[in-house]
Amino acid sequence: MTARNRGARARSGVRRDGWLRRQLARRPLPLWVVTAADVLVLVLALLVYALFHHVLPRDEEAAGVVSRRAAAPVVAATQAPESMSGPEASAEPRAADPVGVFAQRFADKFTGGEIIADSEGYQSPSLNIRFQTVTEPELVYYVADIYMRDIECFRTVFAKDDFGRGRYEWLTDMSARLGGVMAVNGDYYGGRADGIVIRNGELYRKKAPIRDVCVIYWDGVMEIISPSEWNTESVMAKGAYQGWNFGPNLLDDGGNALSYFDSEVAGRNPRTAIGYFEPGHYCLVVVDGRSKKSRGATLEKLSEIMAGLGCARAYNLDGGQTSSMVVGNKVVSNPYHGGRKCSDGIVIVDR
Amino acid sequence: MLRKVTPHAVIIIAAMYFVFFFIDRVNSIMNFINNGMTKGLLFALCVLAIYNAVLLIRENRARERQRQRALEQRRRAASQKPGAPRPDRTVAHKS
Repeated sequence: MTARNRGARARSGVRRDGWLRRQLARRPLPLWVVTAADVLVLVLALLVYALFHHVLPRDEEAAGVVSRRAAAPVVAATQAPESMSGPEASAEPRAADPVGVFAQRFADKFTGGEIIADSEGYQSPSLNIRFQTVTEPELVYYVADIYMRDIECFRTVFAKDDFGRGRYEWLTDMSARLGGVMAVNGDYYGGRADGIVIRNGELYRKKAPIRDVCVIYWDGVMEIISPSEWNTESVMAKGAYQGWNFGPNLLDDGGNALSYFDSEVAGRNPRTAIGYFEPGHYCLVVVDGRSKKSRGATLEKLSEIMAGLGCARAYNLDGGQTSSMVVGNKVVSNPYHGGRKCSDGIVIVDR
Repeated sequence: MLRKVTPHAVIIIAAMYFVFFFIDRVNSIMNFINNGMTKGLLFALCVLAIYNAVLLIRENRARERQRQRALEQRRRAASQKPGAPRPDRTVAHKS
């Protein structure tokens, strides 16, 4: 269009607008414009929602209740795993061992002073860990069988060392900060606002749980409590040391596998689970998933795995892309899409 | 303006809820349904839905009144026309 033509059109008052401008000038607006605008606003609204729900860090006040090891009672011999037999089956610590110390119970598991670390395990005066990689058709999982001299070898850590929502950090970094021998992801407490969070003897969050809660006490006993039976005061009074709120519980009272789980995440997925044999003896299991080599485990399969390992109790932690196992400063599992930063971890330290 | 925007707001919030329900089916642990923000959205949805419904009812009633008035005017006009049968009178059929 020449300048002369434009001048003539301006003088005559005739405007030649683009197609879009003409569409927008119509009253009422064309249906497709209205629909597109609504969809656009919907997408923006979802992004803003996700930003506030999931991304932006938010501080949370810790509940401030602390359970002290010195005051912690022995939970009870009634917690003895029924599925186990023999001298190790008793959950009652021997008289010579103070609460949370298992030196005599597992005296033959620890070294006199040296540290032996290789790809198969880690042995020191305080720890004995055996690593095992199990391969089945379309399933690969990693087992760390852990004996500890002292319950404080079992540590948990928050991302960025700070309690609150929306804080995420690589598990390798969290483990390195504590000087961990190995680590797995926790229950991803930072992705939601509900439930129970107990870490290293302190109660951080005490909102009524809607899922099973797993608690490890100062004396090393692990208990899985259903939401209907949950009582925060009583659990803290019993000396809760660690507590996660994800689940579900994977075994029945006799340590047998469960055949049905009423869960939306029951399909084949990467998994992380914690198993309990007796005080001071635990296992951490990570299942690879969503790949050709390992499609992941259903909750039923995970339950079978934990029962097969001989666990008396077992509990499902956060899975999916978060599931990963770190040994030293290396990720030994194959997390989906390389894994992701998570809000908390379980770290086994040598102390 | 508000009258024009609220139906779209209802559609958008309802569609957000569809997304939340879907995610909740896949991964309920993330708690997309039962958190403070979603409850706030549900409250907004309720308020907007009631506002829209009230507007719609009011418009429907106004339209109905208008229709009745037009009908009445037509009847009156028809009855005032000379020689025209009164619309409300029943004409007996003679054999």
